[in-house]
Amino acid sequence: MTSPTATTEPPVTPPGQSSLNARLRGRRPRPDGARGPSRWLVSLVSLLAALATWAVVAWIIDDNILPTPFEVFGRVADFIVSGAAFSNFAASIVKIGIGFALALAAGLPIGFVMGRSRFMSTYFSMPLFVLGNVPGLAYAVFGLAIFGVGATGPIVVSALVAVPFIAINVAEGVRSVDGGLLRMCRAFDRRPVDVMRHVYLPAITAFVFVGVRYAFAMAWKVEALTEVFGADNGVGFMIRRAYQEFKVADMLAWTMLFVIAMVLIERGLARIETRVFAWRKELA
Amino acid sequence: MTTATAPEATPRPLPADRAASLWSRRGRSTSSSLIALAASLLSMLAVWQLAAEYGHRVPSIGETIGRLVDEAAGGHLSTNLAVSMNRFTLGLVAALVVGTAVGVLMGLSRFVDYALADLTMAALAAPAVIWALLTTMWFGFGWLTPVTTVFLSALPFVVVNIAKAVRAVPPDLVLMARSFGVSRTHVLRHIVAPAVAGSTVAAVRFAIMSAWNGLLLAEWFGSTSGVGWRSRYWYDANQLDGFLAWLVIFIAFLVLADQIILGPVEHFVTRWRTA
Repeated sequence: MTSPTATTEPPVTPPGQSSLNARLRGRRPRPDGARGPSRWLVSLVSLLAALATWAVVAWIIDDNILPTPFEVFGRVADFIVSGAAFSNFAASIVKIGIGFALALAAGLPIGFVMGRSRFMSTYFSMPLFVLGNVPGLAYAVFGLAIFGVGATGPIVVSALVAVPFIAINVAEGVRSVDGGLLRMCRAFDRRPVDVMRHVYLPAITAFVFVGVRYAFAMAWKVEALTEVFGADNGVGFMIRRAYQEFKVADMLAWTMLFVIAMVLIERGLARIETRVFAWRKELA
Repeated sequence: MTTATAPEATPRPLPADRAASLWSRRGRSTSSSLIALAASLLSMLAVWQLAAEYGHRVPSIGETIGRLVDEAAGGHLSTNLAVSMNRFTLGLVAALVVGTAVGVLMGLSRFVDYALADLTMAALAAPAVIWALLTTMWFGFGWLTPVTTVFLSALPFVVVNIAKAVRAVPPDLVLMARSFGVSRTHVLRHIVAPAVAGSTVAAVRFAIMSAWNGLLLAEWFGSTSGVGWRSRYWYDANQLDGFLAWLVIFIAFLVLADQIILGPVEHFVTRWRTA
């Protein structure tokens, strides 16, 4: 309640993953410099307490189905040392990268016409809404059934998950372009290429970046799920293999790596965003 | 209160679900948007039909509808939906109750916020499938597997959004109202309620979406009844039309929950906003 930013936050309904990001971003400007160390201390103590609870419960149950934190950390260390962690994460991220490239190729033109025309905006919003509401299970199963085991399924699935985010944010970026600027371009006979390059592009890039950042978490989860159902490498595939071999410690270790990688990438993207688009502050 | 007052100049992102409110709002306004919606629906069906025609193993619309009718006639539709709804409601209500309690604490106390922020973030980042697999191993094929998965998948979304709602209450307005002797119910009704409404609806919306995904996964891996199990039954039988018929039900449920129930509620509670 003491946060001064709380009241200045825009009262928009946060999207699923973005609530996480909004909280990350919202926290940064808090003037808690004096209390800085205590935040880390409290956070560390609570994490240690959670680990201790886990260890005690695992010790009481004393069964293979709930390994102790030490076993799991040991497996995490093994995966990192052996290079399995790196190769599987790299495989997953390459698939998402290709999927996002496809999503950009489809989402940019769709978003552009949505921003320019009300008719097209209504036309595309229903299919985009449906794409955004398909449960992850359905994407995963269809990815496997139609494309078989391999890289194509996860790539197509992550593209389909990302398209609505990118298209809707591009449309919003196009709508944010100053109409007076466009009329002036027309009055001075600017070529369409110039208008694209100097008016639309700067307006859209920041929105696209935000779209990509929010789509990333969603897309990666569904992509990992698709790998659980059918793949020959990647994080999801490793979780599936550990499940089938009944190695709970391995499952938890891969999940832990997944969570850590996801949080690190999200923070990295948020940092890039504030750095690259710092110039927009003057515009606001 | 739009981007101009945002703490950072980054553009306000729009979630995929926002498209929904856009099409429902504009759909009512003019007849040209009705044409657009009709064209949109027809194009989607055409794309489906084309995919069935030329794609590999994609069932056609007719086969899917036929299978759906068979499922309804055979009683599988209603029994499995009833079983799943029981589990879904149980897990979701538990997540809403626990999540609201934790979220209010996080919103009110900076100490609790610091203590739980990292754990909540990790829980948000964890994929639902891991809960489904773990609960299947822990609890076997009973009712506890889907209910726990639903609870765990929905919980972090409730916590984060409720904490955000609590932080959105303007403290200076509450203080002013108190110093002017405004009664407690008036403060609740006119200051607190409007401030928390938006994020609370968001909490329920994302909890429903995430919980539904968790339910399907848990029933797929660790259940012998329910909608997720039934769709797996068709998949294992290598009958993709049966699976697609259930997928139509899954999407329809989310669209109904979003458009028919949450949409109007959100519109009503946020009607004070001018933007």
